Amino acid sequence: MAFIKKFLSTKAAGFYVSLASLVLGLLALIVYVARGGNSYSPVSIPAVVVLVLAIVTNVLVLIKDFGFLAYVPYILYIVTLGIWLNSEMLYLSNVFTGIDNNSLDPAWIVMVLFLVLAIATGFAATVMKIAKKKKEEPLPEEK
Amino acid sequence: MIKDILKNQKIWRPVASACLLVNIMAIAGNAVTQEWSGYINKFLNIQGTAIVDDESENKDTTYFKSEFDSYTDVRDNARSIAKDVQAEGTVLMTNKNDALPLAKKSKVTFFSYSSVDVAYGGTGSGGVTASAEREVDFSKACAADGRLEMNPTMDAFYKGKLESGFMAKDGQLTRKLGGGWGPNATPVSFQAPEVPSSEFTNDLKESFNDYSDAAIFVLTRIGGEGNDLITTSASEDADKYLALTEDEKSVLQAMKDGPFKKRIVLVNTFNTPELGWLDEYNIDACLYIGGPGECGLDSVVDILVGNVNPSGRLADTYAYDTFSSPAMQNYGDFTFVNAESIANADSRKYLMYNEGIYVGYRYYETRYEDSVLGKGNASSATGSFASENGWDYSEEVQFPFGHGLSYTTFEESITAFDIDAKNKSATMRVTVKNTGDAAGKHTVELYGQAPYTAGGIEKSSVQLIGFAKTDIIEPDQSLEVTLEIDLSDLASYDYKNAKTYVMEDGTYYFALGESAHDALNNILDLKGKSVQDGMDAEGDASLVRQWDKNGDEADYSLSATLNKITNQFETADINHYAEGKDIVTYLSRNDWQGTWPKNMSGYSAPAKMIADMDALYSPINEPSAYTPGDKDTSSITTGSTATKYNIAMMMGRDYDDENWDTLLDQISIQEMADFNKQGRSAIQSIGLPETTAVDGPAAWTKSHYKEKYDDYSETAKVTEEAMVLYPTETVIAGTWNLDLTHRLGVSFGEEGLWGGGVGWYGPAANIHRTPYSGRNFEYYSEDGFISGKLCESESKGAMEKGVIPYLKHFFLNDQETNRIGVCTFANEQAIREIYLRAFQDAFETTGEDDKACTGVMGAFNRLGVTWTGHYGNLWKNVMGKEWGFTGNVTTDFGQKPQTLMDPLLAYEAGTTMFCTSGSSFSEIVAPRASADLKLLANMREATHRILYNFANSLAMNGLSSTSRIVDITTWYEAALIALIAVSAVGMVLSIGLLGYSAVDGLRKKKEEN
Repeated sequence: MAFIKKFLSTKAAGFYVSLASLVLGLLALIVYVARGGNSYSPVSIPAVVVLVLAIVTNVLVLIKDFGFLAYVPYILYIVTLGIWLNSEMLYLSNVFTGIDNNSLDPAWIVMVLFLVLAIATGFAATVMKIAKKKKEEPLPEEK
Repeated sequence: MIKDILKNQKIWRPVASACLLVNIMAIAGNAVTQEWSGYINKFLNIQGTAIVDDESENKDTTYFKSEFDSYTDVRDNARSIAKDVQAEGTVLMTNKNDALPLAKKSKVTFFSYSSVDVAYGGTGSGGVTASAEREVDFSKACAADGRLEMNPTMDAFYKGKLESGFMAKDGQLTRKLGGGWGPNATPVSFQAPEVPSSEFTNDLKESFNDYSDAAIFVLTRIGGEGNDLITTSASEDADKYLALTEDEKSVLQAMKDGPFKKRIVLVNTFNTPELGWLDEYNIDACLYIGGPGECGLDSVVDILVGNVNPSGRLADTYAYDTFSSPAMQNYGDFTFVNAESIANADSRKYLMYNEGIYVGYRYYETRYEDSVLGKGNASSATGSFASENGWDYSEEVQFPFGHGLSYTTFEESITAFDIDAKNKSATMRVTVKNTGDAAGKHTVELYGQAPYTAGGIEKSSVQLIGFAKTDIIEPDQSLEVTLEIDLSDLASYDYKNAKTYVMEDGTYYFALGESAHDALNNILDLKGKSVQDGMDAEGDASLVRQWDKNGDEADYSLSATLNKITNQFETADINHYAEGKDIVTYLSRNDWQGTWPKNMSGYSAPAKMIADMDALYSPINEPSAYTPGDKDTSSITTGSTATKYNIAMMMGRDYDDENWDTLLDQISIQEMADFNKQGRSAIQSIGLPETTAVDGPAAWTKSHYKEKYDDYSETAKVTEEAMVLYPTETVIAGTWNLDLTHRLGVSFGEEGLWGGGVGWYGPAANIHRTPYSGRNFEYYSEDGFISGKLCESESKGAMEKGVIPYLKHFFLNDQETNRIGVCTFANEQAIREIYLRAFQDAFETTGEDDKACTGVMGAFNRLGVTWTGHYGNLWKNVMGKEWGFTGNVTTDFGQKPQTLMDPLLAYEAGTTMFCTSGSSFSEIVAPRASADLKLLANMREATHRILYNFANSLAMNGLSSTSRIVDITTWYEAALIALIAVSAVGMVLSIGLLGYSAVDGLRKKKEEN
């Protein structure tokens, strides 16, 4: 407990924003895998792989502030969204042309929402600082 | 100061992040727009490729020419033809005491909310909204030339309702739906809105007195793609969608109680509503107006005031009860009871055509004859819906197929009849005399009857085998019409024994009639029957000729291409899966009572059927029904640069010309895969530009006229003027006029030249199997013969201008419910005699003078358990061998490659392209093709087929043997590329500055330490 308290005491607001990004990324992954694909657009393995990488790097950034590397999970979340949307083109075109009355299923919408929020929070995290500036050690008083 | 900014991480961090986001999104956007550029370009009216020809001076590269100098002339011509179609396709169903025509300038009151919210067409991919300026509503139509004076108070009342969103549902304010479809654009949500008469104020009622020459009620029911009409209530108070609602009844009652001299009903729908109430509300005249398109109401008013004498005939039967046909017993949603045992979820729905050949009038008229002749338990109560005591034709059918009145009367007489049995043909010459006092056109209808033996091959009592529309005949004048009869149309398909077409020995009848029913009464008269025998009217034997056939003088088992016709659809017959006793007993006139179709709910798929389904399905790899070819594909050359052949060099060359091989060698596998996926992308290696294909069949949807049709330059302009919305196919069918339909097709062809495109997804020729199909507005009729003739003449007209018509939806896609993947079962006799016949004339060729249609769109459904695009017997044996078809074969909207439209099997069966399929299909086939000789050969053949048809189409306009294709960077592509570049630069700069700031920070820290 003391370790966690000490760990958190060193973290700035950006840490919590990045943590939110991680949670959203995880939720997106769970929803995507649980939903599975459909006959128009099966589950995209590349999207899953990139999303997992985003989550892993997000964890690493949270554990140790790598400075600029806070960009990595953010980039990977964006890439995930790009790959995933591209893999969903047939489903999207089917829905938007209304060819057989399909509509976007709730899990799909939730997935988009989580990913977009993961990107948004990832964006914020790259702007904010993850860790507080280390306070300078006071010089020993001269006796 | 500047240094501080440059080092400020608070600025550069968000800038870098934002640039990253924009950059990645722009890259993704670029990928997506490249994939769908054909559609985007069409939508934006821009080109993605341009033709460059350094040696083109003095060359005329316009091979398909327009007859018009400007797009406005094309538009005006199209509108004129649209009006002609409406004028001839409007059917006068009743006209008591010559209620019509009305005197010009009569003062009339329009009733019904629909009078201000007309259904101009159906909804879905074939749904179109005309431009507001061009759209002719009832107000405009009546006001034109002061033809009718419309009650302005009532008009304002209904318009107020429209504007206040009276029928608003899901944000949809009117029936003018345009391209929308899906649940919000169907009758499910539209119901049947009507303002009850209780809302008629005293002021409104008083206005009736001043406009009492006639009350005109507009009955509207809409239909569209994706959903069938509902068979339950149209509103809370009606028992079915095609019946009247209580609100409508209240309005009709108000009309009846009002001071009107005449009461008229206009039927504005594409399906056949129940009209048994006409007498109850003292309706004097009733007109079928269908979906009139953007200017058809002009012609309707012309008919109302007698400027045009109606000559349309019904192409569907109007039953008193819309549930009364045998097909309705198996309509709608059916799921296999053991659906969970079927691995492919898209194979779990089914539909059975247990009525066999007895569709539409074939049922009602055949049962009528048998009831008169006392055969086959025809008068039993089974299958009675409107009859009080046993089945009675006159209580079941209100308006028979082929019915239609005129403002004059005509008399027909047969002047000659010759049979040429050896050549399977006959000729009937008919003299038509106008015996009334108004000039008008007349429709001659000829029906045939083949001899039926109890328990033998099913035969319809009457079937349409010929028709013709006369020119205008003046009173007391006569005109002779010659009907050429193909006796093959009377042959029967014996799917059980001979397994081919047969012409059985016996007496054949050839009867004229004012409708199918009238012709049958004429035959019965010749057979010595009368009203005393149960006929509902006396016949006229003088209008019938008979032929006693004895012995075979011709072979009906040979197709026009002289190939043997034999069973090809045995797996589409549910009894194919019988283990012993038949699963289904098809409706037979031998016993109407015992064979009346049972509702097939609760059917369980047998193990053999499930095994067949499994063979066609694999969610991961190719289905087991597909066997890959040799891995060595070196025998097929791809991407060769040894030659520089150009597609334009192949114009006019035979399909088997050896130069095709050289041309095809130049195309790479990826080019083939990209080209086949939609048949639209450019092929640089052979100089083929990007092409388009557009939805029909009532218009070139979402298309605009080019300023100059023969401007092939990069700067060619497209106007804002939308192409014309023609009347629905149900109105076209009502014309019974092949010349007019041909002119209509040519008009579509002209519009194709002027910007519509190379491919046109129309006409459509599925069958009105029931009154409730949502898409009946896109189809002609319940009868395969008239559908086939109209479809052929319309498509040939379009082809004259170089358009490739993709006739759709081929085939057995006769309802919308579960259309995507439904396992559809029918016996081969019904398939051949009705459902294929609707397309056969267009696809079949007997040689150069009889050019077959150059395109077809397969349907979503399955034939048996096999998706239409996989049904090799259809494409290779029937279309290819029997009919000589060499056109393009596209799928309907390409989707579900894993569960329905597997491309490997589709190529093998004969499909050549996958409409609107995006990258998913090319991603499946392109990587495999380099290691699958069979697949590569199939792709090459598909490419050959498409290119052959393109080489003989308007796609060649602007090309020459020296032309080449260059990509045009469109504005949106340029914008995306610029965005990618700018964001990349921003990203690099901001990251660089962040790095600089970090290094500077470290340096400072060091200095401090």
